[in-house]
Amino acid sequence: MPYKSQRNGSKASNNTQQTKRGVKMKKYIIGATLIALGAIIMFSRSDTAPTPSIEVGKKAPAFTLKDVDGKDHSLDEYLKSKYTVLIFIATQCPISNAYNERMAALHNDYTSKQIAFVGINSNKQEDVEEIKEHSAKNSFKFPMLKDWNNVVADAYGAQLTPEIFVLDNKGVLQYHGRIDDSKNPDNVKTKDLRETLDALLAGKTVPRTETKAFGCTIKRVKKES
Amino acid sequence: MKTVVAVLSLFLAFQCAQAQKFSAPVLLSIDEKGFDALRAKSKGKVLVLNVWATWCKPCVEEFADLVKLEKAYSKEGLDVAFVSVDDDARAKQKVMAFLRKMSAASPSYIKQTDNDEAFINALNPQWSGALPATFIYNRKGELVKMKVQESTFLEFEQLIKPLLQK
Repeated sequence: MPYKSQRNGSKASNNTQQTKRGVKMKKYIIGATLIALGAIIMFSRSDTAPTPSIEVGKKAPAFTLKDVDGKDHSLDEYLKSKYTVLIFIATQCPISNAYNERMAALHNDYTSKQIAFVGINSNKQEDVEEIKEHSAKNSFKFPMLKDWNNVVADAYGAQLTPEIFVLDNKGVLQYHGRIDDSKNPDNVKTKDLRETLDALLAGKTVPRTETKAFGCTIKRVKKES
Repeated sequence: MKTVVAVLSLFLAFQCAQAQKFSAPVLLSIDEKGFDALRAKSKGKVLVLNVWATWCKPCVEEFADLVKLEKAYSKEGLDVAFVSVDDDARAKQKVMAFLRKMSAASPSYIKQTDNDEAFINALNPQWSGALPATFIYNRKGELVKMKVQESTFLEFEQLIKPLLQK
């Protein structure tokens, strides 16, 4: 009898242990599944720039953004000018800042020729107050728009600051790239943006429609991809 | 006895070579035509080529993680090559001082070209020129990943581990 009860007892305790083990196992499985799901979600999130969806010769995406005073501006209002220069700009990027004087001068030189200049700030860490101060400090007379959640940067495939998109009055992209070929004004050999605008105003072919230079990556918000 | 001495000497020589690799910074100039030679130096290895600049805050922030990555995986066949695109008047001094501070492996590289666009396209025509940019090559020397954003040790580790096993 004692043997039997012992056996039964051990069987019962075995069963309890097995049940406990089963529960533990289930917990592990649930835990592991949750970790795996978390990892999948984490790694499917992306804060890299999407593939550019805009090409020279194609219509650029429309947008409406608020300026630093909270007023809405749509792309359409700028397209009333002959050409529109969109400048993706930063307050903290040393390369973008190296171009502050050149950007202000470009606006001063071409605004009377019916060319609109629009600054767009898509960096997640640069807020409206900072942008306002930066514009005042650098005597930017062109509007600065805040692109929260980098919606416009994504639509244009803008990757860096400073980065230029020149549109004609139908919103068709005519030029994409740099202001010139060196952040150091003394080393500039080709003033690409000036050459582009001069060519467009004179009805000539733009010398080079796509150019590149080093710049700072636009800091994007993380999004589910 | 002779064998013991020989083994010890070899061991010491290896240790010296390793120590030298991680201490004295050597800065070589590179232009758009120099990348084939750079990659050839890492033949049969996984290569992480990081393009950075002292003025680029996220580049400076991720630098230590890349140094740590090379130290952790160099024995398994990882090379990390840093290419600075600093080009102002005191660029070399600034880069050297930073490399020394970070105890980066040598050699390291600094851009020397008048044509930044050609330099960008030589690394990858798909690259906009935005920094930081990291190019990861497998043991065959093929580009398998271009990462144009600041990354962490863990993110880099996840990218290189499967390549090291191949």
